[in-house]
Amino acid sequence: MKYFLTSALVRGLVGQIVTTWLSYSLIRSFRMTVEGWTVPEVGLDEPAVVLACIIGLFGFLLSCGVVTDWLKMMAGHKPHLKHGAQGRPGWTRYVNIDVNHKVIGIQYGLNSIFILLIGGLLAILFRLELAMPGLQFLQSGDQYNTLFSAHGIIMIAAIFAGVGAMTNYLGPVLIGASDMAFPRLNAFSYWVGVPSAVILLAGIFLGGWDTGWVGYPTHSTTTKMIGVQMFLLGFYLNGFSSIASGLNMVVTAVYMRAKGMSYFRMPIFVWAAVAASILQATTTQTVGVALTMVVAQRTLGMNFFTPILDPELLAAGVPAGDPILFQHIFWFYSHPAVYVWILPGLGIISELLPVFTRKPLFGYKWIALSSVGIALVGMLVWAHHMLTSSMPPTWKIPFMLSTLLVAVPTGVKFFSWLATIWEGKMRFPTPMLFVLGSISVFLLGGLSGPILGTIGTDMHLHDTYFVVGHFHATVFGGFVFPFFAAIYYWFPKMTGKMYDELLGKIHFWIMVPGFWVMSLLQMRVGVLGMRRRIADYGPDLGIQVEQALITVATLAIGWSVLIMIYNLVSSVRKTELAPENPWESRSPEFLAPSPLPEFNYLAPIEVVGEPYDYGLEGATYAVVPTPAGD
Amino acid sequence: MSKNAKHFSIVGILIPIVTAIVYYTISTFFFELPEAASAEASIIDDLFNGHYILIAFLFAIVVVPLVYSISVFRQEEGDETDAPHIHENTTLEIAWTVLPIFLVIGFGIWGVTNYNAVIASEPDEITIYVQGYKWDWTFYYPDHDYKSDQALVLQEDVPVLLEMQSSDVIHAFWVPGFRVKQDVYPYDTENQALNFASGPDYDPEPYHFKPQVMRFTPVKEGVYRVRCAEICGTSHYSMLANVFVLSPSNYQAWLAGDYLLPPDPNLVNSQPGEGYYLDALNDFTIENGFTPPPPPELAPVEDEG
Repeated sequence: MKYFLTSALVRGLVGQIVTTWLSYSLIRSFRMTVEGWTVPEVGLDEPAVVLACIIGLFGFLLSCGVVTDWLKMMAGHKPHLKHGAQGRPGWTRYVNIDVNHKVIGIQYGLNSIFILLIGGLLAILFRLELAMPGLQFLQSGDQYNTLFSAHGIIMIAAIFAGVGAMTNYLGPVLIGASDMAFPRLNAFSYWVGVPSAVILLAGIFLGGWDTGWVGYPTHSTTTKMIGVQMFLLGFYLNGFSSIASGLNMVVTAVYMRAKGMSYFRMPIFVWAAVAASILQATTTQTVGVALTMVVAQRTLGMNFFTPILDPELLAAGVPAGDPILFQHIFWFYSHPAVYVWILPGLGIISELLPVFTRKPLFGYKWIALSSVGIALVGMLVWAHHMLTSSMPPTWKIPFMLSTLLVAVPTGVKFFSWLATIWEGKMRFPTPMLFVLGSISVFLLGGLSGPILGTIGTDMHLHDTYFVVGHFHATVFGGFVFPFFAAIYYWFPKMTGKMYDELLGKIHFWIMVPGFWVMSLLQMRVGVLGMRRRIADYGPDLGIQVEQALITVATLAIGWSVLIMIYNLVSSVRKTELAPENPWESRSPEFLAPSPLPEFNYLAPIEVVGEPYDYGLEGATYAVVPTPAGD
Repeated sequence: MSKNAKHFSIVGILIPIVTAIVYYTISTFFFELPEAASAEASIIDDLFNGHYILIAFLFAIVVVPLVYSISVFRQEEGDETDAPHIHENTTLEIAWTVLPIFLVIGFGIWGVTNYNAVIASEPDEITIYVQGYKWDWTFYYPDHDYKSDQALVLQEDVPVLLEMQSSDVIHAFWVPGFRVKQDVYPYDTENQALNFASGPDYDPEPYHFKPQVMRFTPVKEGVYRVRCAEICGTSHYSMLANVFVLSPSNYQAWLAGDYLLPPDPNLVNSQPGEGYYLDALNDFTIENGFTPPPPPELAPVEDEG
């Protein structure tokens, strides 16, 4: 307990709360003294909240100590990287500043699952509300709007943390490096995400917001629910985490590969992670701009998005705003963001399939390049989110065409997976089940894509539950299920213990069928006329049975995730050790001890062959030094 | 090789069967669209149908080999050896990269021509102004200088041009039976000359103001519902308005004030299916005496804001 209370996590949170509160009080008092500024007698003072949240972030970073080394460097010192638990119990590494990429990876993972649970809880709340027509237990549309808006952005934060978990833990291990290229920056990427998540969560309770995760003006610039500011700030600050970790991963993969590992001998997951990281490092800035503009319009009164057309006003220098401007810069990031989540997930599928089919990955180079292809095309499709907007038809058509083009590199992946599976001697432990589940669910997401891409059909389906079903299938199949597969697969490598196979299979057999039911019925009610983001629907649509079933499926999904958490927690406490290579994998980390040593490999490894040559007699991928006397 | 030929022929037979089953299921039941009530809806539904065929086919060519492999090629008990070392086939890879490109181009061209047909203007359109605001809709008939707060009233088989704007935030105009959807943007809300409600003072010309436009031709008499499809705050869920598509004689009677629209609350509680009041519509003329529809069996659920 003593160790926990003095940990960086607790220090940071206390620091954030104290500095936020102090600066809020100070700014509010100051504003009250200035003549002409209106400060509400009761309730929150919006500009003070914004400034206090930003100061609170610095409070967190300073008091948790993640920037201490950099401050020392500025003062002319040369601090050394500290490794290990510094004399404290081993678990404290996960709540303290640690520069080891595996610790950071697991921190991301724990954070991801924690936030995932909160987001899931919100979803279950509003699914219960939607199970029947009529408002059941929620008091107003505002409450419902806060719930679904928070669900969206919190799940996105959880997914980014999950992507961070996979790239940080696996990236260096798979390429045979001892750590990431910039360990301190890596720690910063993780820790800046924590106060951002706190700000997001606080927004639910301090006012709530009703803009959805997209926050379109002029609704977001005029809504009276001031939780929207905390949503915008939390979203914005999380972006630092994305940009820094994206850069870090690209540099690591370029400069720190093991001897003999050419680009086309990298494990396929690394290709996907690099493609995702390039997107992350290059597009996040634009959403930052969009969010800043909304904050500036709300707080400072600058006009970006409210249309002003009067020639006299314009001549007098009043800026002409345009609400659609926001949509462009927002989606320029937020569409590629989806590929940042799914590319690593698809990479996991490609990485695990050869192991469990005992066959080489079919068309390695094609799969590797298709990740790059998806990333590139993904940057040219953003306006397909705006096919019903006031954008001129001549602009909509190119985006329709580029959107359909995404099907080509995605198809390459699907067909290559099928060719890998064909004639494979398949084994079905839990990770493989989740890989197959991912393929089936991602297929639902993929097949429901083109129909949203052509403008005519999208006019009917845009902003309906069809879209909800589509992107949940894409994100579950492209990220959530592969993430779970990765957790089960590398669990023995992370902890040295084996998870419980039976519980893993129960988790799978509840969650994946539950998800099919949920997603397919969401698409069905969307086709029938159910709009997105509505607190209630009339019986006139005739969708009561579907809605009740979706709620039941959601509850099943929620319970199955709790089963997984129980499984993992109880397995860590087991005393029995897992075998070093339970999956008979050829990957270098499975030829090293479990859990992996501090610097991954006892001595530098050397790559001498192709990564997935299963079934080729005498082929070796990597020479991994083993401990003396082994 | 003959063994492989057997596998391929089984899969080859199963794919068209599964395609047919999936297509039948989604087009006639699972993804069945609301009844097409506009000329545009029929055009869009053709494209929907094309997509359904594509979905069924792509589903089959992925799921059949996947399920077949899982059931046939699984590891046999006690067999710890690896599978055959097959790692690439460039011809195959090129084929499944290039063939989908043709499919994409095909659907792209179809998508463009389809969209052009949907947005094409008709010669004798009736212009109606639509104003969306939190959380309701108002409709103006500039040709008759008439404002309808209650409902959008249209004449069967007469094309309409909706000029739309919002008074506050972005809304979206959508009637599922008509398929078409258009986001509605706020204008310069301080400027009364840009507000449809200003009546004769409405004059957008000097401001280069263009309201959002949407065209469609209702083709089925009946009652429908405008549903706001862009999140707009507290009562977004109940931002609805009724749409009446009337026969020419009823429409003329309505314009002349001789035809009373059915009162709202009954429609809110209407039974499943948007065309329910079709038969009752002809009873609403004043000459016939006003006969309200039978009292609803379901409790009121949707608050109109």
